[in-house]
Amino acid sequence: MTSSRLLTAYTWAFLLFMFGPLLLMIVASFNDISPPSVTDWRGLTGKWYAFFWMPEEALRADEVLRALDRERFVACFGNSLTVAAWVVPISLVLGLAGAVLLTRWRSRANGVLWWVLLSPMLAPGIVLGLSALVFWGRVGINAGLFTIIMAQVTFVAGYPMLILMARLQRQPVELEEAALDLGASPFRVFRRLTLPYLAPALISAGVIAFMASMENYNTTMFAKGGACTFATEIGAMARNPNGHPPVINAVGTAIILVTIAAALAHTFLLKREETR
Amino acid sequence: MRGKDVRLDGVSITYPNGFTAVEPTDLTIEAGEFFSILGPSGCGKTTILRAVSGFVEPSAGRVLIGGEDQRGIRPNARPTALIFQNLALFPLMPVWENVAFGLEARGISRSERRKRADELLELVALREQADKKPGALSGGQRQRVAIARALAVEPAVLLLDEPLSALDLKLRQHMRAELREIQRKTGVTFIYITHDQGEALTMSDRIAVMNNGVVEQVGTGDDVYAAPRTAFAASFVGETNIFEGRVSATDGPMARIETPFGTFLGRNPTGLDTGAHAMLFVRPEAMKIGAGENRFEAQLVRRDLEGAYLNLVFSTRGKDVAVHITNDGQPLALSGEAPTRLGFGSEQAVVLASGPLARTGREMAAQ
Amino acid sequence: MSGLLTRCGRALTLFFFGAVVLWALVLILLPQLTMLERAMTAPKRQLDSSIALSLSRDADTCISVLRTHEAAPAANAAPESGGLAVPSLSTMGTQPSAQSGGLAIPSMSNMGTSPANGTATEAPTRPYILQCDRTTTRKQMVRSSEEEPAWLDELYGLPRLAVQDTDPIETQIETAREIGGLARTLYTELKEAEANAFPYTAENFHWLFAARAIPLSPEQKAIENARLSKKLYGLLGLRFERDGQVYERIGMITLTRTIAFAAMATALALVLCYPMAYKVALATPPQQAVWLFLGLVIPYAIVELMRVYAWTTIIDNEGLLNGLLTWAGMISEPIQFKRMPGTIFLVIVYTYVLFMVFPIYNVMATLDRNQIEAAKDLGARAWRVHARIIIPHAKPGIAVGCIATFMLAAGAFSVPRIISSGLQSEWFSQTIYNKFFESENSNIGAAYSFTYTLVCFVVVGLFMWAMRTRLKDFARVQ
Repeated sequence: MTSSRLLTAYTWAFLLFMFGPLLLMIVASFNDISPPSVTDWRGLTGKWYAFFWMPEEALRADEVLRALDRERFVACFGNSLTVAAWVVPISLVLGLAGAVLLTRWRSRANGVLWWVLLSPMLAPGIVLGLSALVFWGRVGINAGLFTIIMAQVTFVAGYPMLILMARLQRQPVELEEAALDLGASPFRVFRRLTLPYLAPALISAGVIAFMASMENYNTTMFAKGGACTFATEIGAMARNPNGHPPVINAVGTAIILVTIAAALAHTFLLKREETR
Repeated sequence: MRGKDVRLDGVSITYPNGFTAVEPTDLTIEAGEFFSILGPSGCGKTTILRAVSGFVEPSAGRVLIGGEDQRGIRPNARPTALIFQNLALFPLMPVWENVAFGLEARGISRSERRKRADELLELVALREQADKKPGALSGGQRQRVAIARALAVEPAVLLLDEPLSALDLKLRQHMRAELREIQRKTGVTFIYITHDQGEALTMSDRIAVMNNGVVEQVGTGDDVYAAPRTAFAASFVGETNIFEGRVSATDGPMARIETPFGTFLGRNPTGLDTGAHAMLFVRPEAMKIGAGENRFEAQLVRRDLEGAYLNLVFSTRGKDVAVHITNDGQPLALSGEAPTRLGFGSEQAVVLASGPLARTGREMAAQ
Repeated sequence: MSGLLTRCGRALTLFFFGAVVLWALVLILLPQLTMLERAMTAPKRQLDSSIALSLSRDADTCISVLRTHEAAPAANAAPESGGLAVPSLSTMGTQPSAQSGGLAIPSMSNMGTSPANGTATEAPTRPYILQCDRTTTRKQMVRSSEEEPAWLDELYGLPRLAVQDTDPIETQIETAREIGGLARTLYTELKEAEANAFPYTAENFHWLFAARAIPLSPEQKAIENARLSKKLYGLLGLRFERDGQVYERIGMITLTRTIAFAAMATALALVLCYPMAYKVALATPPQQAVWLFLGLVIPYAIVELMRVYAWTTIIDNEGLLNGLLTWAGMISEPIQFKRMPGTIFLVIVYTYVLFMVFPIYNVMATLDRNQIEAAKDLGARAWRVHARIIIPHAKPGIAVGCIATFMLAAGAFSVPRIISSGLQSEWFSQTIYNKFFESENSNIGAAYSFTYTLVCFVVVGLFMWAMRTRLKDFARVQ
């Protein structure tokens, strides 16, 4: 009994460790002081949020906010969306191909393929960014969004591959054989059986690939050249000599809220699915 | 629908890892026949089925369906339909789409597909369930969906890979009759794979007994049961008592065999010569208490009631002998103390060359 | 292959193979090979031939400048006798930046004499000309810091010549011409030799092991020597003393420290996560476990950078921690937490700890709870249930979690960059960044990066071997 109490207490302590810093970040996002602080309370403000939509004059009037480049920030966020819009579909296609080969191709090369395709997930992120930069530079393509996309795809494609593979392994081989035996062409089997069967896994793999692309910093930093993304721009604000502006806390708070909402929605959907 | 004949012409199948699943085999299955391949698991019977359906290419020999060589023809182009052990129903499609899938692959319009599916579901008495998902059906219903789906493509040969093994006993017995009925109605050639001799004996026109990649005997159920040609076939199909020894004399169709338990006379269908190592097989129901021309003494050790039968186990010189007698309701006038005289007729005993036997239940449990 | 063809058909099989080949070659293998090639290529400007080439160019420039000087000596002479030292003085400022071997000294001494006596015999016959100063066969070659310095004249058997500014201008031109001729010949020879020579060198990798002298006062040295980490470096041969001077192999030290810290972070994460995974997967009724699971998913799903930024509020100089300590009267000056390696370690653990929870949780959740019941029923105590049933079952998850956490921690770049604003180069990933983007020789960065990958893979490979994990576990666990 006592050991289970101890475990419960530990659980709460662990959750506090995980959520504590996030809560402080949220609190600091409402404090009218830069750099963000929770010890020096200067009054409640929403201006770190309003930064994204306040009129130009108001922006100029504030001594902290006027130093920030709102256009650049928005442009970088747009870059991130562009990158993700490429990375997600490419990763899904590559991941699907890898998953099919690794689960269905019986060959001696299979073991080698495992190592090659999983190695980017095991390699340090910076190495992937750097090697993409060097390789495409050698080919003659300058660093920019293209190298970011290539570098991210290298490892992001591994997530769909693992997810799809787990699902493919659970699909009985007999299903495909039965369909082939009934006279279906392989392509029809793939379209009518395999793809519908993989659909839920494809969706979750797409979401995970999108998140991995959006939040990626380590790989992107090395491959970006002169370009910027949401993550590198956020990261760059840390080098502000006066400490980072609380705008970051505001963005973080928004991300936390969106994440919580998405996680809750997902859980409820799952529960409804189960009870049905 | 008309069935076609299937011929295996010297077919052998060796896997890339060197394991030979099927030794060179000749087999002819007549058009419209209900043919069973009976054997223990791992004997190569499923491999033969996969060679006929096209998922495995024979390493040597030819597979002919309706006289046509099937080499190089993909599974989806062969006039066969396969029913899998786990049925392999498509979980995401409603029942009728499952049934109509083969038609869809042939480019038949949706309304036509639906019509054909409904007809087939009628045949297997599942019309009401057409719009449900397979997951919502019972085991027997799923079984029938699988049959309807296979029949929808109007195959000349239907291949069934132990399709009843997942069902419980009552349902299994019912489905046997139903399968037989469907086969009779459609006239399609059925090749039925099973390790259950009861299924093979009740349904089949003919049975092939297989062991270790070799077809040991082909014949009607009566043949295989009453006149086995190999030690394996005799021990695998039905229960049997085995007395091992040496042939001491032959006399036309009969042979005399000397065993540690006595010298017995039995039929000699394979023409064994004097001096050959041999085994004598007698079914438990052929054993008589106190009668028969071959006689020996044994001690009663166990008595099990199995409804219509009494299963008795005797022991003679450390060997168990099974005797089945009909249960006529009278108390059994045997005691465990005095030895009992047992006997059997020489026409009911078969003398065959010694060879590998089917594993007994005890051996299976020990593994 | 034939099985795949039967299943997928020719077109799909080709498509899948094509996609995977593209991924494996263009995105994974070729970039790494290019990296290796970069790592093994010496930078152009370092080659001996390019030094000979620049020498011949300097000689040419020197000659042409001397010619113009010769053509208009009067024009030059007038200001020389008047204001004189001014041009020399102004060039003096640039001199330290010019790499000029031993030649700086003569012009220094000239500086001292010329204002005092304009007509001295030792007086230069021309104003200071940088290129003429550099026109000497006594050129230092670029070598790694470990090697003995090498000189052009000694190395290639050239006479030791230099353009002396005290010589008559004619002689100077003559000398310069001679030097230029020698340099050009040498350049052609060297260029040819280099073109035929094996184009790759391991020299960039040597930089990783290069030792640097660390300037330390005796007191500092005593303090440093007493530190455990420094002693360990000494044992590993990464730190040594020669002639009272302390040397450290900085590259290797950073690499070793990064790997060691990452291993420690992984171990700590494992200790933190095992009870959590157990609690959520096995010790909570499924209805409540959903909410606990959510409590782990939410921080996991939040953008990595935000998790790092969240800590700045705590560890800033005006942050929560310093605020509390000051309020409690324990300190008067804020502690520079941001500069402490321990802080970076802690934030790395915080950022990547959840990558350990989920693999373990996923495997644990597949354990039939009846097994635990059965073991308890047979009289096993809690620790025995863990040791004999749960841990063996969860082993693949533990292995995958450890590998994931280790690789993330070892490759951490965002945490040190944001927490310490990139001021400290504590983590090897930052060293690579600096070498690649902020130093002159990015090929060294490539060599570092390649070594780093190799070391990480070796560590992971050894770990997988020790844990008897196969790569396929990743698919089962993810």
